[in-house]
Amino acid sequence: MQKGQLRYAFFLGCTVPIRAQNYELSARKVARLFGIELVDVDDFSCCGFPVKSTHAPTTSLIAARNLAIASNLGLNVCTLCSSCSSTLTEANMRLAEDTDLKRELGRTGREYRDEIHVKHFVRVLWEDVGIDRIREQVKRSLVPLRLAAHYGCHYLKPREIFGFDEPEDPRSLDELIQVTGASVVDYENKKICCGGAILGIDEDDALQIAKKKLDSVKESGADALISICPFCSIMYEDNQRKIESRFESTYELPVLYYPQLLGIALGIEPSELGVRMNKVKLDSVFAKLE
Amino acid sequence: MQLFICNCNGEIEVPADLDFGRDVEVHVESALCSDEGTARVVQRLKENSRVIFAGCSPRIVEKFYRDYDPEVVNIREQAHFVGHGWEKMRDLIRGAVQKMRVSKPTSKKEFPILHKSALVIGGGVSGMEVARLIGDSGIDVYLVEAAPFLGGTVSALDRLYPKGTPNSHTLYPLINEVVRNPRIHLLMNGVVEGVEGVPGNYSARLRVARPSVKNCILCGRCEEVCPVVVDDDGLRRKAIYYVPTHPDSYAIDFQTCTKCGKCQDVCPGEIDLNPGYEEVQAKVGAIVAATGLYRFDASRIREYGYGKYDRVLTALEFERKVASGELRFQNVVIIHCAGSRDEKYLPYCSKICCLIGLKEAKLAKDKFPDAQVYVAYIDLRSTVEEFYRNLRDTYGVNFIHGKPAEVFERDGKLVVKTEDSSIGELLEIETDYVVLSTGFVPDDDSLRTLGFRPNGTFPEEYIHSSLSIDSNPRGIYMAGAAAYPQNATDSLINAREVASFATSFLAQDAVVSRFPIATINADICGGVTCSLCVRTCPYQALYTVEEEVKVNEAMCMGCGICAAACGVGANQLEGTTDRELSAQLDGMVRKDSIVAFLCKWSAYNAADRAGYERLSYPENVRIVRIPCSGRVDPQLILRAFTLGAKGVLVGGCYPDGCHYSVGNFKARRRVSLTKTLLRDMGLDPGRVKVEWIGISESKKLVEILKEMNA
Amino acid sequence: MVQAKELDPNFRNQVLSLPGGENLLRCYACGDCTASCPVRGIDERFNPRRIIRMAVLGLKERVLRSDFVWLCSTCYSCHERCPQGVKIPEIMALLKNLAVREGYIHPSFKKQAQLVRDMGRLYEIEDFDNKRRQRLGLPPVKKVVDEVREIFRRTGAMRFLE
Repeated sequence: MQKGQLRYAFFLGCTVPIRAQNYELSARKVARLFGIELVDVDDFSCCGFPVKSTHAPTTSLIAARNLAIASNLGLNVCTLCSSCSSTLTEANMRLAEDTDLKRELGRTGREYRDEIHVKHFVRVLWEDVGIDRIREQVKRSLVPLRLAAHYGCHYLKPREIFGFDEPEDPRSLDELIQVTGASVVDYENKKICCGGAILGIDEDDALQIAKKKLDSVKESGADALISICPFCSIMYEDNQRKIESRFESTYELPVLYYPQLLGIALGIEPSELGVRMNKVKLDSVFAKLE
Repeated sequence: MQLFICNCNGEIEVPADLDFGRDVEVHVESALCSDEGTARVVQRLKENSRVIFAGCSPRIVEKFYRDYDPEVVNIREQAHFVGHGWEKMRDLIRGAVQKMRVSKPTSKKEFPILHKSALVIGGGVSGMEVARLIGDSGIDVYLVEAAPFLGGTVSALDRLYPKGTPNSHTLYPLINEVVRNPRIHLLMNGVVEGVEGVPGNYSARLRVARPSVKNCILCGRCEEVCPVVVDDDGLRRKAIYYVPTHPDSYAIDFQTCTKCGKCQDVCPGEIDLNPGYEEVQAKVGAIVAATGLYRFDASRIREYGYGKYDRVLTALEFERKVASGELRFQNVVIIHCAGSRDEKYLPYCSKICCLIGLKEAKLAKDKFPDAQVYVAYIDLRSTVEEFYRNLRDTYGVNFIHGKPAEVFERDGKLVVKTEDSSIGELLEIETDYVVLSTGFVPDDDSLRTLGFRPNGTFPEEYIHSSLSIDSNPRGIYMAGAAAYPQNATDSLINAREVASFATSFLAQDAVVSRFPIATINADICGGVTCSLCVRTCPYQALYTVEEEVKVNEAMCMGCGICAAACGVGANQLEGTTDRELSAQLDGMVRKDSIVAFLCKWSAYNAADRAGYERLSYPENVRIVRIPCSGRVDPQLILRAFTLGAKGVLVGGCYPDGCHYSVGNFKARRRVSLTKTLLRDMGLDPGRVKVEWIGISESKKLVEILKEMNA
Repeated sequence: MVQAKELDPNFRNQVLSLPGGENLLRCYACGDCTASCPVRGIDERFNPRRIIRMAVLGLKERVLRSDFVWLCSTCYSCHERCPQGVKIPEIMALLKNLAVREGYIHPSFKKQAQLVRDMGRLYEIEDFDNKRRQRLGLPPVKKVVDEVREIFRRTGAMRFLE
């Protein structure tokens, strides 16, 4: 793909613009470097994911509305949050076959026109930019770093809606990390969920699930955890202290969003990547890079 | 034409002075079924004249007059016995007369058995057993085996379940039989490239590799120096190797051989690294596919780590490694149904893998009595109850009801994560080895050369009752596990069955088939060639050659499903062509008739039974006997309506009970289409029905007919 | 002990008829889902195999009134592994929806739904938030999206959120 041809409607979702601005900042910066135009769309709302447990048809329609807006702009959708990606991708597939949903959408006054696709930003980097092009742009090798990749759940699963990489043995994020020069550690529980979806339902359960990952990553000796979803970061980063105190463990494990990591490797000033907003201090990471 | 009406010993009142047209010679008889009656009729039958018998059910009449290819009018069971009078009988006869006016006799297909010989594909236990039995009866057999050694899957095993008999117990006597039998021409390293011809006269093209090792004395020096190590289902061998079955010579596996020549340097005999092939034409009368089982590729199940962790093994690999003394362990977890009963991989159950898994459990415990052996299963299909009990009781194998989610590595050991649903707990079992008892897949490539279309599972319909081996005139059989997964014992039993069929088949002078066959009018078909009929045939009896549709007369079973699929009438079934059926309807349908197209295997017999039970149903019912409910197409149904019919019933066999396996499903779809057509025409779609009516469901049929008449 | 009257075939049929619930009866209780489930890994109450079985048996009250029906973390691990294609996460969502219809709704989900209904998103955007974004050089986020509220009304979800 040529530079300048990548143009996406930027779907931020609910969490990123308020609670994960570091993710947003770093994504925008990295996007600009690769000539990916992320178009802001005012009318986007929540993707609908939080409503699914209450009323799934409402979720579909909310998602469909967002897709209609993007399609009318003639733009594919790029998301930062994996839940948004999953909800929108699924609704997108349904719009292709489900005439009822199309009709419902029509009644709200929105038309879904030409077919568009939905892609997570990290997948855009993996597929549309590609490892080779990324490698060309790496200015600062992160060789000393040993990192743990966390894919989360809604990035590759269910495979019928995403259809890339291999959920049982994923490689794409590992390779994206490796292209920066950093190495990837293998660890138990690599595929486990962050528990974020039930944080409001049973906090203890959710934290226990997150704890499993933190324990495994700590045992692997990784310098940091790389995340691609704000929910996952909330669990592993924002709640790290809480997990530490509730379960009497220590981690001091920095958590970085992938675009932050990549941004550092691309030579972008870390402060422009929002690193100061990361809840767990990244000092140990930068110390290693000296 | 000649019309013989039986008054059934005077029971049926047949009026005098019958006139069905100048071309119809009428005879009234009183006992068409008796010896004198039959003799009298036969005397009167003219050559080149069609004949109609009006009397009892075709089921009975055909017993006596089959060779005369008659049209049978059922005026006893389907009129007289149910209280319907001569008016109706006359209508039925008139229908038959009009039909015969446009009918041609069904061709008799004769396939002379030109070659009293058989080709057996596959030198495993099934192939060998079939070959030796056929050979013993004096018939020449070509036995072709793709590998350099005989024995197939059984030779790779250590022992057979449930007794644990060593494989030599079954294998060696059989090999001896095969080798000493002068009628068996053994072709090792051979594959079948293609088969052409008809029953009794098949020509199979075989490609047989010439031997690479000659004058072998089994000294083994070649093996010692060979640099190529091959993993052979768990055991290591070299590219040049020996299997103690037959022939007694080392052989080269050219898929792995690098042709370095080191073996040639030390061989006291002769090694040819480029022996080449011979093309062999085998002209045979019958073919038996004994191609056996192929293993499912366990690496597809990513979460079990086969291929990733070298201590995750398939059952066969485990068995071979344990038997050879290569493995030591404290713990083993055996996972059943690995990739089976799973819509992502093999949706079907391979039947024997549960017992195979148990066999491995017993093997493990026999070798290491103190080892902890776990068997994780979903449903244990271990039909040999004492074997299973023994494993729980005497051997102390742990049976866990739960399908493991994952196998991963931790601190150098494998961990299997599963739920034990009996206690509702999650288990993480640390183990030395994980054994996957996987399912099996058929040898699709071989089956394809024989004209079977692979469909993702075993070709079981070729051995099920309604399509049993002997009703297929083809002379191509499947023996042993090729048709569906079977263990060695059952494979041998099946092989004996097949040998018997093949031998009887070849003993005939000719195979005579009276199935009506499909015919293609090339003028009508040509230029259209939609190939719809080709795709609907359950027997793959239709095929295209350069845009022309052709019928394989040996495979056609005469169901008419293809004829109904043809939108332009190019494809017709002898005996029930569109013209014949239209003419028949023309002759017998009156205003407000209920026309019932009943399949001759089930629904029609239910109507006969209604006669025997003296049930009463409306007199305006007109029954048309068809070979399969799949023969009925919307056009035919609409014809009945245009002739004044009030309602049309299509009666077929129950799902999974169709004699031609899928005809009734086709009928259902076509009736559904017809309903749509009726609706579009502004008519009541309820006037046409499709129903499953079993052979004894006379009451059900009667209820339906009454309801349709209301 | 489950009494006969607790086994409600209509409940099973209800699940079967809703989108995502079609394959419910294919389940042969192998437990792969449970063994894959991160929630079951730390909480005995949430056992997917058990819940599906309860739905198959028609144990409506026990499922819809339970505390466990809300615990699915929607990770889709079970979905990837189920050998029968039962679509467990969809069924979990469906069961939650049915519980809501019956009047049981977990307060957290209720709150989330209300926020989306009223604000068009999960978090209320205050001026403070947009100012902060501006400082960081990020474009502002539109505050309330009315159309979303309208969607709630159209789909009928409104009545479950009072």
